[in-house]
Amino acid sequence: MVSSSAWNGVRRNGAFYASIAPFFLIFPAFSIFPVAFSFYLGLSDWDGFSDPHFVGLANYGRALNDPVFQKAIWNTLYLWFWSTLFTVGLALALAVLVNDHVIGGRTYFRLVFLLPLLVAPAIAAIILRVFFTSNGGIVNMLMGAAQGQPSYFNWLASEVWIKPLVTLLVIWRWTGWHMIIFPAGLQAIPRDIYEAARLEGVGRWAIFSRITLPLLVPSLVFSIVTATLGGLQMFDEPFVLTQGQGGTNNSTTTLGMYLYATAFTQFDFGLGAAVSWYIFAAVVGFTLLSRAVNQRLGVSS
Amino acid sequence: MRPIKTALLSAMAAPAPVSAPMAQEAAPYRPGPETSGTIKVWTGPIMTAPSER
Amino acid sequence: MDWPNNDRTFRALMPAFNAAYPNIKVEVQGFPNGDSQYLNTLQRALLSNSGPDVAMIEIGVLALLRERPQWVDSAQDPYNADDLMSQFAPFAAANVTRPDGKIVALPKHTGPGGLFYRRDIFEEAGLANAPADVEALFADWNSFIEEGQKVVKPNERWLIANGMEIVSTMMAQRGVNWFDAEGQLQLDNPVVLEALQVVDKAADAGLISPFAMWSPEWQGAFGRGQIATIMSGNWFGGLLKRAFAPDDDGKWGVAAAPADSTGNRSFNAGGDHIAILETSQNKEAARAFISWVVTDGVSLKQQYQNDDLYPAWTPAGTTEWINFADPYYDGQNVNEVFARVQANLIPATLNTDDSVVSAAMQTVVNNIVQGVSTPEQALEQAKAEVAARL
Repeated sequence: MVSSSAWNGVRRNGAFYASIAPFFLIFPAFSIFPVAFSFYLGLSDWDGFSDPHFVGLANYGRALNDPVFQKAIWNTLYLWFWSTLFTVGLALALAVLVNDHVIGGRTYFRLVFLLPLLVAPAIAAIILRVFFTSNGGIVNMLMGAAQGQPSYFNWLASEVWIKPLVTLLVIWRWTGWHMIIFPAGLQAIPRDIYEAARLEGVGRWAIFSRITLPLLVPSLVFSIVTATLGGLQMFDEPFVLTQGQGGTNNSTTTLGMYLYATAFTQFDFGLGAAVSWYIFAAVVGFTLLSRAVNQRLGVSS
Repeated sequence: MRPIKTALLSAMAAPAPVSAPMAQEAAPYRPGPETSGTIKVWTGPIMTAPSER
Repeated sequence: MDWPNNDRTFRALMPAFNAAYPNIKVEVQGFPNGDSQYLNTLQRALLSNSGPDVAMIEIGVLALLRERPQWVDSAQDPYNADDLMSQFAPFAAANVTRPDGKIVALPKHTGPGGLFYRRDIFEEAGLANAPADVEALFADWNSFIEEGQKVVKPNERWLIANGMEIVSTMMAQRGVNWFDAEGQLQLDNPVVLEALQVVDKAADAGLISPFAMWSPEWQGAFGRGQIATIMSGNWFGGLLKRAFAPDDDGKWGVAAAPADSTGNRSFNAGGDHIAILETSQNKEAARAFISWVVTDGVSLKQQYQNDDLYPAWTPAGTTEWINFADPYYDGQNVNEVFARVQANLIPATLNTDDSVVSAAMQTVVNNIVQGVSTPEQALEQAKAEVAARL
């Protein structure tokens, strides 16, 4: 009669089971199935319509042999590194400044830096294009004024400048989001440690680097991990800034854009799925790495 | 083309057909004005822009 | 944006259609192309049997969609459209007919191509600006580059917007597309390198604007008078009139594009087709609608005169309404150009992988314009990218 008593248990806690049931319906349908399906697609040739057929690891090999994919790997790493460095660095600096120097209205600062994220990426790109467009762009006008002769440099078509511009767009959009990670960590550092340090005559920079920073490691790691997850999957910013073309000579085509182009404009879903698994592998690898680093730092401090 | 085809057909057809098959063939099949019903029509823009903003 | 979309065209046609068929109610739904939204929505609907009764198939997605088994075959009884098809522009009829003879759609309009040019800019530059003079001036691609320089004002005004226009036009003039009828990649066809070399020369001469096609800057450049010419299908006139340069009445003209080395100026750029789905519960009404839209004189006249859609139905070519003085083109009867083009153009093949090659070519053509690669390097790069994708 085990089963009947188990059933009684279910009945007694009916409301509980009813309330978690949706999760067990939604999770397989919208999480497990897509993951399994994309794994299957990665091993198939599929145009989104006819019956997929099995091609083994061919898609994974095709991606590696595609010069655009190789370029996309490098572009993604570049954009990830610089955007993470500047976004997290700037967010940390702003958070510390607000924490140290602003007493009333801290919420105002947290919110005001978050505003860019509320602007749709396409609109953000238009704003940046107004600054950098070759013909009548604000930056060229300023340069022209400084040089005494008009400047028509095509920033957005430049292979050299388009990556920094994408990075700039990422920084502008995401710094505020990272900034709200740090205040909680900063608040958690006991005041008396600072006071003791100041009484000992320790300088400001030393206080920051010896006390604040080490105690902020968990927040910092969290911030870097989320920036990395975004960075490795970066799509919106380079897409909107280059009209979906990836810039001159694919100089800012990211893995996400490559995936999008193969799967959704060229209907090569097998190749797209294979690329998504490469991105997934990179994300998992980085997450494991950051955990290891976090644990080591945690032990040493 | 049509006159040649008509000539060929009428030369081959003995006796001459009562109703003119060419005339029927030439008029595109189109349901009469009394046809009724509701239909749904889907359309994209008139040209495939690479990616439209 | 207020652009001449099919959904607006259809809505405007409804009073005339309902005069002919008072008992048929038509519900039109328009989708944007952005992010392939229309194509994806339609493909999903075909798969799940939840589609509309009638769907438009634009030439860019025709190769993909005609493979699908969900279209009503117009070659079958009672439609027997074989004879009907001989009255559409031959290349358009060929494009909707599969090798097994199945007719998946009826051609609605084609895209006979020409060179749209600004009469006032040509005059200002000291060039003759009547259509015949412009064709004489731009006798071939060399003279296009040579004479075209005169309209350029560095960093302010350019002869053409994009390098890809040259490549598309030159290839289409030869009837070459990315693949031939046997599915062989055509990047080694001599016309491709030839076109890339013309792009290179045009870029060196400063003829090509920095504005990416379909970007907001590009769209705005027409109204600001920064682009002196554009090579495109006849439908582009609709965009100029209603979206890009509505205030430039009388300033534009149309000539045939520069002639290629065989002397051909004609090419096609665009086209749309109308199909019935097998799942339709009302195939008679759907048939009445599509037949009326693509063959009825009232329908074709309105689409042509109000929305710049060129009839694929060849009997329209002998009507009086196809020739008219268009005030937007300073009273020019542009059909003098487009009828010639439609009659002489060499058809090109459509392939399901066209978008793969065209994406790679777009990148390398831009590389040439930006001075990043030579035409030869660009071609090699495109071939490598395409080889990896196919």
